[in-house]
Amino acid sequence: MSALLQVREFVVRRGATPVVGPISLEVTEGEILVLVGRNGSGKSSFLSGLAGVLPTGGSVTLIGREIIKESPRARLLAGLALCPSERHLFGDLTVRENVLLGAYTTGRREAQERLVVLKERTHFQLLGDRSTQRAGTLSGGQQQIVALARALMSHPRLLLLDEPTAGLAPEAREQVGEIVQEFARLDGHSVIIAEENLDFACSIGSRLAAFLGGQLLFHSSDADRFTPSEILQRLLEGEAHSAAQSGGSNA
Amino acid sequence: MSRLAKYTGVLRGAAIAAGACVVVTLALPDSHVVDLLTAASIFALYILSWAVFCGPALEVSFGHTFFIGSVAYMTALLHTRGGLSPIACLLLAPVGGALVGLAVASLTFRHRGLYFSMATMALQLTLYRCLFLYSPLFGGEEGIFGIQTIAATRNGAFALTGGAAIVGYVVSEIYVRSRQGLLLSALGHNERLAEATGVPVVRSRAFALALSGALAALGGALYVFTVGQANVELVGDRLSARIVLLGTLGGPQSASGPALAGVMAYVLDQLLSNSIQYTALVVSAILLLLVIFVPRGLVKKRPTWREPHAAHGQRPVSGERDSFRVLDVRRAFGGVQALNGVTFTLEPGSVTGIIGPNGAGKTTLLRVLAGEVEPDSGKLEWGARAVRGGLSRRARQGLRKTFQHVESFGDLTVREHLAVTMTVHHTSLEEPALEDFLRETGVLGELDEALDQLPPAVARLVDIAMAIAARPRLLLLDEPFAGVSAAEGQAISNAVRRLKAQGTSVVVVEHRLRELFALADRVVVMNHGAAIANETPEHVFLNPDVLAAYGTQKASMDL
Amino acid sequence: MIEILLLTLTRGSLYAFVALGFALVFGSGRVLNLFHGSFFLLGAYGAFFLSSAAGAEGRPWVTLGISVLAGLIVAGIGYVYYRLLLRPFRTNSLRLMVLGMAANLVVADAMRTFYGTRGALVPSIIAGSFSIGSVRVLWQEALLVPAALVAVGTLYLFLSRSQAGLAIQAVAQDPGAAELVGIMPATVLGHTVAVAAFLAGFAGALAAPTRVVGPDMWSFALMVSFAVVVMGGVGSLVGTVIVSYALAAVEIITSIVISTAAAEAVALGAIALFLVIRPRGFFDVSAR
Repeated sequence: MSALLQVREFVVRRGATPVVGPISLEVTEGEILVLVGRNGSGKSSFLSGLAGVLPTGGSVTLIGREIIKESPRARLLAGLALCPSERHLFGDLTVRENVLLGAYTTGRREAQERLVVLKERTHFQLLGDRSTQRAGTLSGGQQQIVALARALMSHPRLLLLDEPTAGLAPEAREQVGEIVQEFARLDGHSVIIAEENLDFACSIGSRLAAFLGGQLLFHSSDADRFTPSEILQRLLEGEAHSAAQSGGSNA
Repeated sequence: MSRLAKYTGVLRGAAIAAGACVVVTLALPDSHVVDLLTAASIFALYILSWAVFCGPALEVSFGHTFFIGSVAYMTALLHTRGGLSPIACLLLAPVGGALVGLAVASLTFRHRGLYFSMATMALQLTLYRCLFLYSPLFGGEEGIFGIQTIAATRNGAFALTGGAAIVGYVVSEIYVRSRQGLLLSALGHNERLAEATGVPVVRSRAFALALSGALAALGGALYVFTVGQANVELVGDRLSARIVLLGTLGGPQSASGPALAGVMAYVLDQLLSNSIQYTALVVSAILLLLVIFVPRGLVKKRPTWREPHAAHGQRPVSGERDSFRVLDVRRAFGGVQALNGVTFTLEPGSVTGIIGPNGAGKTTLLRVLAGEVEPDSGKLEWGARAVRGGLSRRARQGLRKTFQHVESFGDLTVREHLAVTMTVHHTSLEEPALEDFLRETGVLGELDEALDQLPPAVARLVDIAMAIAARPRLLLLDEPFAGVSAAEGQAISNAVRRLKAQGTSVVVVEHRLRELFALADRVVVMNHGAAIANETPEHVFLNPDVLAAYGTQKASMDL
Repeated sequence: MIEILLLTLTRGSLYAFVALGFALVFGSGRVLNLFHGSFFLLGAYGAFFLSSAAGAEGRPWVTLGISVLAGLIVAGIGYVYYRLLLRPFRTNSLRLMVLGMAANLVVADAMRTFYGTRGALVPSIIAGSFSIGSVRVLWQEALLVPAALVAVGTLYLFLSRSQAGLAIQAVAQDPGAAELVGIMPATVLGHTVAVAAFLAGFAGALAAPTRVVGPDMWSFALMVSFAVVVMGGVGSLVGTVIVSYALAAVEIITSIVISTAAAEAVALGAIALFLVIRPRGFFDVSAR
């Protein structure tokens, strides 16, 4: 199994301040890597850095290609799509328009064809049912489906999800989980999810990476399996440890 | 360095300019050049008056000719219809200008940035059109003429306008370098932080606008009484735009830059008028190129504060030793009940920690206490009285909140940041708790560095230092230990203990429990917008409600 | 009564024409383009220049073509302005404002230099006027109404049906999310400015025969654009259109009740009053 994504000495900055890194890790095909860590630990910034919307340093290789200097658009074309936290749908546009925009880079006709195919899949029925509804009027769970659809429309190989289950009811969470797992099962695809909900994280993730203060506290190999309380325990220990040391930056 | 010493540079510049004027008038009596310089000095006065507000406040007023023209026409009318002598008019003009300035300040007190710019532009355009309306009174396009000129000779006129320009220069420089100027500068850089520090927002802006109006009006009146007429160009957008451009090019936060730019531009304009047609275009084009390529203006160096700043006016150390009571405070945002009936009491000379999972309402609570956000219901009482007023007012009453994320006044030095607080609260660098804090954190060695050149962590320390310098009665610290080294954390704890000994009530919201528990007398635990426990540090995690709130069965991650 | 309605329609159509482009740039690009007033000015002078060169007096189709051409030329100028001045400075709003002002001055002085301070006379597409009740309406002014309708309709179709238009809407609502789907906000801004410049320039060309074309036209056009957009709510094109007609109504009623000279002053006074009292508008659709 080859590495879909290779990250070396990766640093993410907000303005001039480094908030994440340096971090090195790999994501192989078929993996669902879950990022855990408390609010402000850097998971979101990490994903935003991968997507190219925050200034970064180091090296990021996607399917063998160095993308560290590329724009978000170029990374999209290279096969990386980010579904941001709080979804960020275009609220005044319809569901259809939102999803079509996901394939903006391919032109109108191709986008429409992709939408037709996507609508047929389970979980994505609402794209057809609520096609002309304004995206801002949907429920949280429905919005998440639309956001996922929008991301999938660009036919990415690596899907990044930032807190997709935040504020969702259990059924909606399940749907998201199924969509994600289905995606990862496709050849040559992987997922990185940042999650606050440890139960969901443990149920869906094949690997785990814990963030603390912008650094990787630990990450598991395929064999390790954690329970939510174990993760919490290790995070608290890590925090206590770094607080005891001087110079531990804890943003 | 004494207080007066910092102004010697200004006075020296003024003396040089005055000397130069005298030389010119003696060397070239009654020549064309004198006329040119007369007009140029009036123009310089216009620009100075613009820069005295727009420089420190970092605003762009597009309607400055509103000040110039309104008073110019008023004095012209007073003279032609009311029979007032030119001298009386000239003396009245600054007063009128100050009043107009105050009026505009009150109309635009909420306006910032582009809204301020467009509102001033609208005022100017309206006045311009209105002046065409009553031709018998305002003279329509030709304006009011036949006004007695105040000086019989060219040299006399120049002496008057040159003198006025120099006075204007001195006044502006003194203002920009004064305490008031510093406060306005703080407002311009970061209004939120300035408010939290207690800078009186409306008053500072009003004062500066009044000053601006007075100087502008003086220029306008001088024009009327040296040229002998008042015309609509005094209210025109071309003049207004020119003033904006030259004021900006002159560089913010100094008056000499704009003045210099004004004189230069004017002289250039006139000297190039061999081919009158193209001059204006060439000058405009040059101005455009300058604005593109010279970002910070001609005068880049800014006079910064260097004095140690002695306190004047003693405030009693702890004022009223009163309890601060929070009574059943509620606040909702959208559909979320952020605060759901919070009640506790803060005793003077105590340290209270506030902890709780994310979303518990801690930050909202601090904002309500500080006056940034109004509660939907519930009461805040300090001693016997209800707490009132916004952020700035409460800060001046002794309530100070620090910021979770970095807030600073941009490129002002550390000393200037502290000076803002010390001006508002009448304290000095000799505040015991402050001096120790600055020394222990190492900030003492960096007092004269611009804060935006230092690492962001220093800015957070400066924020705390400013809070200490305010000698607050109630201090609200929002995650002060986040991102600090052990030594800095120790300095913060020391400072809190010193303030506590002085009778200050301190509230600390924190996630770093080690440091917090070492410091706090009591710990309040919040969850879902309510205070669910109020214990001593040792007992907090023995409380079953607290454990349930942090419970590990739930997926909640945050500690 | 009917005079008021008709005149309001024509004047309001003009304002809507000029303000819509500004609304797009401000709402989508979040950029305050003070040079917008000059687009209007350049359109008017462009029509003057082209019609004198082509000898278009009395040839309606030629004149109409010239108006459109003038609009297109201004669109080109607008794009160049965007590339040279807007794009590099779009993050520094203070500097951008001052730049826009400087550019306005350059254009105004250029026009003053080459065409003098006297108003320039531009031939109408349809000369003459007709009467309704006691009021004379110039045909050229009446033309503004169907022109505005066509423009608004086209704009609506453009925004909702084309990829470029959808991109403009997307950037207006959420520039961050737009970036994530591969839209480049800077490029979209360029398109938006070009569209805005065309609309304003075309409006200038259409309006030129009916008014005094002078080098200071830009300030009034800019003021109206800004006020109308803010009053209608930044981000709401519908609001912009509605307020355009409302403002025109105020102006027309004043001109009938008091005098034509007072009309503009009153309109400006209303704008000033509004900007002072409610700077952020009645229907603020955008996020604070």
